[in-house]
Amino acid sequence: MSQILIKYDRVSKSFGSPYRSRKIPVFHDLSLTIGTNERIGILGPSGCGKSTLLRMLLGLIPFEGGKIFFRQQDIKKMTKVERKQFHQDVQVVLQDPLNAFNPVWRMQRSLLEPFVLFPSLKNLLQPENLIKTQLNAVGLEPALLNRYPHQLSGGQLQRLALARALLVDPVCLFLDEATSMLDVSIQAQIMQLIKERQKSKNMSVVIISHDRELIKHMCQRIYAFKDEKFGEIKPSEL
Amino acid sequence: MSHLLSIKDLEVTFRTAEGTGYAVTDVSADLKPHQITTILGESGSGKSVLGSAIVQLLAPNASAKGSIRFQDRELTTLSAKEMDRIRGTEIGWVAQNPQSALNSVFQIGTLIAEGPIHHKYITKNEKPTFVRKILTSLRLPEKLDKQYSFELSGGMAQRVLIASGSGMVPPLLILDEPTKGLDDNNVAAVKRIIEDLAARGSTPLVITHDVDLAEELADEIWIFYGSQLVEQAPKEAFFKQPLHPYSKGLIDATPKRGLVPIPGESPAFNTRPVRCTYYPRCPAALEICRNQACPTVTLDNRRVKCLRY
Repeated sequence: MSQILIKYDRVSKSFGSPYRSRKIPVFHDLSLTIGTNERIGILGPSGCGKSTLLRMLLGLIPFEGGKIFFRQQDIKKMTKVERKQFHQDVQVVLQDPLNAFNPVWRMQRSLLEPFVLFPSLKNLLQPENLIKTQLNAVGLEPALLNRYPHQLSGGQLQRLALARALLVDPVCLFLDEATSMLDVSIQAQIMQLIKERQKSKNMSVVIISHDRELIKHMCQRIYAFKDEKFGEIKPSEL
Repeated sequence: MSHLLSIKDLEVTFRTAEGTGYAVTDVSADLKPHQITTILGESGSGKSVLGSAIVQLLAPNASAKGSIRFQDRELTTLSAKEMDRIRGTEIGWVAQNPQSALNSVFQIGTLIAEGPIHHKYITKNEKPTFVRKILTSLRLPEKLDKQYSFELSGGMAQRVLIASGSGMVPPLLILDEPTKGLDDNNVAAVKRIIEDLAARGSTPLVITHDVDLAEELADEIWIFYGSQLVEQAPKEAFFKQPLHPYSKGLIDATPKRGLVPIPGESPAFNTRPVRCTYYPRCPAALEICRNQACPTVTLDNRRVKCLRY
């Protein structure tokens, strides 16, 4: 039995608008647990709140009711140092890789960014070698590091985004529709890589997607938004 | 069966700063009317360029060689004015990415009626009735005509884009990635619209990378790989027994069939490919594939470009 890594405890979220007097609820009393070394799927149609769940965890948007815990610690009560470590431990790969990289930076600089940001990686000697090893793992040539984002294909960029996320050895990796814009053959390459990495590094992986076949194939436990309700479902119910 | 569209020895190249890029090479195909044909392939394989070449909307740095015949007219030699008369009325074009294809400063109703008014298919007075009819037929709310594209969700914007391209029910309707990035419900809605249009007399040519969509929607499948058309087959036969090794790889890479990756990278060409473009990644490659040109062979009602056949 794996330990609990991330826990959403009766979380509520609604969106307001300056043009509307009433707030629109997204979800109410939502609970979810993510264990260590697990592959979890979160399934639901567009606009149901899948990405909102992730944004709340990362502290990008506030939420009203309930609590979210990371390693039994309330994420709202983290100190600055703890928060930095949390952002290193939880990595995200988003849908559009072109928006994930600075368009005026060469890829080399974008991939060196984690070594500038995270204190535990700051004193590493020769991070370039680590980057090259990681690129090798995702099946890319180091020559790509000299290019700009617009000079790369969607599949190459998404693998670079994945390489950057894996560089910092995260304990949990979120893939938010990370392969929905990609070809099936590239999706298969990325998913195989994630499966191997998850097993070898004991990492948790959360796949947020509207593709039920992908989630069924990749995930051990599945949560779904269905008919305005959220809960765990069995793979056979898909 | 007579053909609606006949493509012969088509080659599309792009002049770039790095030299000439070959996007479509050696493509010959016939499109049968009154059925749904789906072009499947990876990004960069040349499928969208083929679509743009048919409607003669290639970028200024592109040049096309070969023949594209539509209802006994050679499209490649038509003047811009003559092509303008055909585009929209006889060949509809639904571009990729609705958010950039829809003009965000005009209301949806104006966008839908723009083509039909330009082609004198309707008069300005008929615009409200026409727009209402189109929106209803696409199962969209009528009040949408006064809204702007940025106010719509991805699924709705895609349906509006189809509405603006298919308003005059053209005999040939080319749709470029009509379900990219959409969820199940929206994909189902778009699929229904394409089937409706086919039932009303249009022949949809759907360009997509979604294998599941092709399996549900198509009557005929064309497979593009590395600038070439490598296989053409009726859907049932294709999914039962794909002939080209790339087709097999593509089907096996879907989550439904095991998510098996194809090793290697898609190619990009700075020189005209002479041998099979799939050869470097092909698990079934033979010695002769290395240096021999690869002809397209016909087997019953299917065509395949592979030296194994």
